[in-house]
Amino acid sequence: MTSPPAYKILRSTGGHALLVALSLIFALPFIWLVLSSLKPASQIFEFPPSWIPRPIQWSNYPEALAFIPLIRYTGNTLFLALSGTFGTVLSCSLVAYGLAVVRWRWANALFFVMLTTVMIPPQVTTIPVFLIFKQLGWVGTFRPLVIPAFFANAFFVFLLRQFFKTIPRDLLDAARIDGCSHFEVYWRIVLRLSRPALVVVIFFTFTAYWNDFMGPLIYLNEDSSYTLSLGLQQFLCQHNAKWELLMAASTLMILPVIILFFILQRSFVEGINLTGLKG
Amino acid sequence: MPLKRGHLPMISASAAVAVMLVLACALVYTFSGARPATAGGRTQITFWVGWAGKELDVIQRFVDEFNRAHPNLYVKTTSIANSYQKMKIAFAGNDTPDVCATVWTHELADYALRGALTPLDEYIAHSTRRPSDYYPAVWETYKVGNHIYALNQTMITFFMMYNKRIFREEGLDPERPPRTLEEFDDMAWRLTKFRGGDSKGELKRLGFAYGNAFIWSIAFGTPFWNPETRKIGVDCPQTIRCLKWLKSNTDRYNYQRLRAFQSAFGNASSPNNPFISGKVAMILDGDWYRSIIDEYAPADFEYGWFPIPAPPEGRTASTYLMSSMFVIPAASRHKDAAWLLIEWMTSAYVSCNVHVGKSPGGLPSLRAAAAEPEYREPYWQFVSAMLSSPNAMPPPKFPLFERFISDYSRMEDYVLSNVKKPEEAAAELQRNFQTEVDTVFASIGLQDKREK
Repeated sequence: MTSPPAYKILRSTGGHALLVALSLIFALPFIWLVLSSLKPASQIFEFPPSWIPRPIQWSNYPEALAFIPLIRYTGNTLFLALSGTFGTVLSCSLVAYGLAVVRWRWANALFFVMLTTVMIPPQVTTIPVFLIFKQLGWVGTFRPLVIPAFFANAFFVFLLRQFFKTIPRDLLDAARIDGCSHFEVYWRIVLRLSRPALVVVIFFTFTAYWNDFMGPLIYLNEDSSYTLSLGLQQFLCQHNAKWELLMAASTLMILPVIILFFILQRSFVEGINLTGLKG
Repeated sequence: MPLKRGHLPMISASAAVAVMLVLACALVYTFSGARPATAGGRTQITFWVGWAGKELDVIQRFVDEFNRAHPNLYVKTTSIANSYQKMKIAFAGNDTPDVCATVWTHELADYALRGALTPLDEYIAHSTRRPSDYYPAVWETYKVGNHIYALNQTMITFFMMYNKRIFREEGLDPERPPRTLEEFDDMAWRLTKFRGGDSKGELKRLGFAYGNAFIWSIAFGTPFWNPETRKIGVDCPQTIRCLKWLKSNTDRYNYQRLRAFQSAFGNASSPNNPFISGKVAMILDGDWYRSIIDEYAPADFEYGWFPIPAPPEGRTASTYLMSSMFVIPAASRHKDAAWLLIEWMTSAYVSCNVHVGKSPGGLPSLRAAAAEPEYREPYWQFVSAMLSSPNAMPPPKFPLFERFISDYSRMEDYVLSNVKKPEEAAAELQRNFQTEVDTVFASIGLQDKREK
């Protein structure tokens, strides 16, 4: 077996080196966050900046956990993120199926109307939506943050609809001929073949809920129901700020999202057999 | 159509899945409901504050005292942690707490003119509080039109502070800060250091970071607002003179070089604070800065203070008043109880004891409280003198004032960066903002210029 030519080795090495350098640049803010979480307060805003904490202050982490009820806020955030993700995936996939697979007269028109709602800035609808939830008596609860997830998100409906349209029609028609109802086709075939698209929806929805600040700020009125994003804000007091503890708490907050990404990353790169047809 | 053999499991599986999904949705709906109130039969008063961390703990201590003293009431404190967007939406949606300490002096007129706040005149008339209990300028801060809408614990004043060690190093008398504008500019230049000693070189230390046109305009005598005619007073000789003075100084140092140097300043609430770390010899800020110095400065840090210098035709010993204030929203369900809480939280006892660090966070607004022993030291006596100054200025009482400050700052940037001339920038701000203020007054039915 002959070894690869030298230029191929050089090209591969050079390419990897470039990618590693670019990755480090993109990872810099996160690296800075983690290093700052281990610094004493006096070093965080030093100029010129110092990268290595001197000394390494591990106590920032237990102090951050004690400064605010981080565990409770994490539980609240997890409940919102899981409920919201569940509702989004369920509702968006159902709506997308109805628009992509079921043949009915106004499907395309309704799809375009739905798409126009993506162009409305959320700031425009904040107060009218708040008034609706106030009338329903939901302000001060988790409901304004969770229930809307069960009514589909236009962007994710669009994403899933486009993916569902790539599933071979023959496969779905064959299932219908065999006696499957629309729900069974959706549940047994379409969802199972749409794993990569669903993973994208799950990841983006979970991250959005995990990091959401404005929603919890506007609708939650009890300290005990606050989320992590509101909890981080409490490190910034009116007359002083606990930057080193804020960095530690931020690092803890960001870790679940990073772990989730690495767990779901496989689904992005795994190949699937779209057709499922033999012969 | 009869069920075929072998089809039943599929139908059951679908039904089971559908039932589970419905159940999951129902569980989510149920568990996302309201948490039970913990008032234990007492009337619950919702109280929002902007403080967080240790500051919130201090406030909660006094709230707990109030709760113990009022067995029929329970005050539930919620911190909005300096995120005042929540207040704006709560007022807009008419879903406010019963009482809050989250309305700032520069927002008071906006809320009061729109009928979002409850006047406190009746409550004050039946209490032991009198206008004479307060500094006159502080009392004016609470008023919009002819009504009182707020009270507070401490009032922030703005003045100059200087680093005595730097004064001494540069051969200036550390006990003799500048008294006139010319002296101030001269000292600021002397205290500025450049790398290599070349004034065209890189900045190493600033005598003063020129900016903050709004506060300086107060010293220069800008009227800002005429409540009789409801006219903005910005396009005037005083503002032009102020902008030209600022520009002459920023041009001397080079505006771009100044901003580049300032961009490397450490955060104010950190040991790398530019004043504490010696990057700036003199600053213009609020009296609360003392708590930053106490928290982050070394024990041997020496500093002094003096009133904002003014031109001869300006306002001597001027200052700007600012504070978060206790108000009762118009939508409050328990106004009488809310007043009891405000009366307690703004009392001399609480005002004197609300401080987190080694020293008081601010001077109490009540004159009698300011006479307490802990406020007898020279710093607080100076702050008291500033509050008593005839040129202590509360925020002008016109709508959209918070945005006005932001537009004023933009006007300053235009002038200092040579985008617009002072006359042009001031005229444009006056013209544009007057239109907006007139529109707001028209929309809230206050075209009639007579005070309500």
